[in-house]
Amino acid sequence: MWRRSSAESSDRFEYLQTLVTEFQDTDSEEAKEQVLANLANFAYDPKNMDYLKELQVADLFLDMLTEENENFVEFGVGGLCNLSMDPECRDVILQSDGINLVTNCLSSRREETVLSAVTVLMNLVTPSSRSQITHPSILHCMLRFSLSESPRLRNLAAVFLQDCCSEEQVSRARQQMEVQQTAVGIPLPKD
Amino acid sequence: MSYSACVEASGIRGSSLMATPVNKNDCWRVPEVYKHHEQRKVCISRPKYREGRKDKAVKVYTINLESRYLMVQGVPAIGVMTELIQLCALYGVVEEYRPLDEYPAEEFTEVYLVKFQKLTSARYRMQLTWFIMSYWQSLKDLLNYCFLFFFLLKNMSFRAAKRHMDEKSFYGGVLHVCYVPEYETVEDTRLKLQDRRGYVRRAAQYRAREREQKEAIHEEPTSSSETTTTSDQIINRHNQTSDNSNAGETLNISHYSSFPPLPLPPQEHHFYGHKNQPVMIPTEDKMGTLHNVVPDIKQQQEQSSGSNQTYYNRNQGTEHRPNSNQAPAVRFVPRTTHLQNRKRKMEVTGEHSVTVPGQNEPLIGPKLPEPSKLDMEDESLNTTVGLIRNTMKQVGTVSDLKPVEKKVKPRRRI
Repeated sequence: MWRRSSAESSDRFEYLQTLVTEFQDTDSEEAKEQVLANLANFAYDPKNMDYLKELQVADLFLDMLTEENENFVEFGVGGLCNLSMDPECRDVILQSDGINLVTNCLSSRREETVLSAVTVLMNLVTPSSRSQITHPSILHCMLRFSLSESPRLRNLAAVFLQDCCSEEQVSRARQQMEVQQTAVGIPLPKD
Repeated sequence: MSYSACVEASGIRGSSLMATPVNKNDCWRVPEVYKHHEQRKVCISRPKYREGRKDKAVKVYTINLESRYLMVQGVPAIGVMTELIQLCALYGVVEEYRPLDEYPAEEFTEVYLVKFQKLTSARYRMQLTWFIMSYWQSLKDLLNYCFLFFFLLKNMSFRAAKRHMDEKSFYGGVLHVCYVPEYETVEDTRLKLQDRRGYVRRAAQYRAREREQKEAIHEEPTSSSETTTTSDQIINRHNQTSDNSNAGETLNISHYSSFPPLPLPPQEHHFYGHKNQPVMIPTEDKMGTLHNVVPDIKQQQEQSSGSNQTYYNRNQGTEHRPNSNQAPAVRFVPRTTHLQNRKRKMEVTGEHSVTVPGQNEPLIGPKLPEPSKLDMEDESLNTTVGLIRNTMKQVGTVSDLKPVEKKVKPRRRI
């Protein structure tokens, strides 16, 4: 009953293709930001996943993570946050070294970038990628995030630690942090 | 990533080695003004082909911005809290609400926090639909049933509340509604993410199944198998997740086995491609923003069609275009065309307003004031409301036709 006609599908694909082309061809940073944000928002709707996969938009978003423009990074990782909910897109991101690129976004000044990065990492967890995503360095980061003043970040970090890691991994990471912190002379915050 | 890099990363996030007291289940704490509460400036430099239905800021929407907690600003401070909550209740079950007195508000306005019922309210919608159906016998007409159900499906949600109430006039003020995910608990956040992942995954499975069916049709183009596949498709379409981009909200009928399965639409009523019915597919505008839109088949697309063959591929891969030569049923419509059409429609309705429909003679004398009609500001919603109203009228007139029996009392004569 809601089946789209193939003509509508073709229009949609062509429109997305036009967006990608504009992004590649334009020199205007402002236009690039707008198109990037558009593509990231289109990635929110599962209907567009197939077209975005064909257009390799996941690679486009991953390329944005190393840009200096913070808007590019924020919109790129936001797009990945939306895309990575889809299992096939998740696999594409994993194959393109997505974990390392997204992990670097954890040090961004922008809250939305960090939130999206944490969500992407959670979405990228598979039996094969779990060990890389639950690396002690990332767990330490999440433990710190779980103490953040930002409620959203606190919650996301807590969900990450509870759902993506085992209790032993978390307690081991916590102990390692305590040892390293006291060694440097900075006391840990007392709950 | 090295440990030191991680420390640096987490340090920037304002933890500052001070653990703030965390009230795990306290959505009533002193509110903080966050950036995502504010309305950003609208982008004015978009080229025409990328303009959406509404001017919007440049912003990316992710699941982290969404929540079943809504904040409503701009409520006139004239004691209309009840009316506000009633308005919210049109779109979903309100679990809790309170005024946010501590939140900075414009003069003479108030701010409210409204918590909607848990995200997956599909079960609630089905319960409500079945209740209305069983009680309201005049709704045996399948068409009305379907409209009612899909009306609820589309509109009973915190997303619908945000969409319909934001920027809307309310008792002389203009409401600004935003999600406030900072009021969520850890469990709320977890469920939100799980729901979202599940929805996207089911949509992917549905698309994969559709693709397989299409391939099966192409492989065996006999008439009998087509009939079988068509009926299978109808059944499958009803039994699978609706690919409703009322994002995040799904209906999986197989999960709700305690309710009777939805009846199939009768074969005579073809909802797809039916010219008089609005197609109830919420689609994005050109910026990727999801809106419920009623496509106008008569309008033409202005944007240039794919003369550009390239797409994002480092290795300059092969081109790929889906084959289609048919006229499109739903198109991206430029904003200017929408405005012109709206103007044209207003002129047309202006001409017809003088004569009363169904009567040939011109109306003489003053017209009785019409009962105020609720405008849902959406064509499909208005259609559904109209149908419900007509059905109610029919039910009402039946009872009116009953002759009033008067008992004639014998008069006493003195």
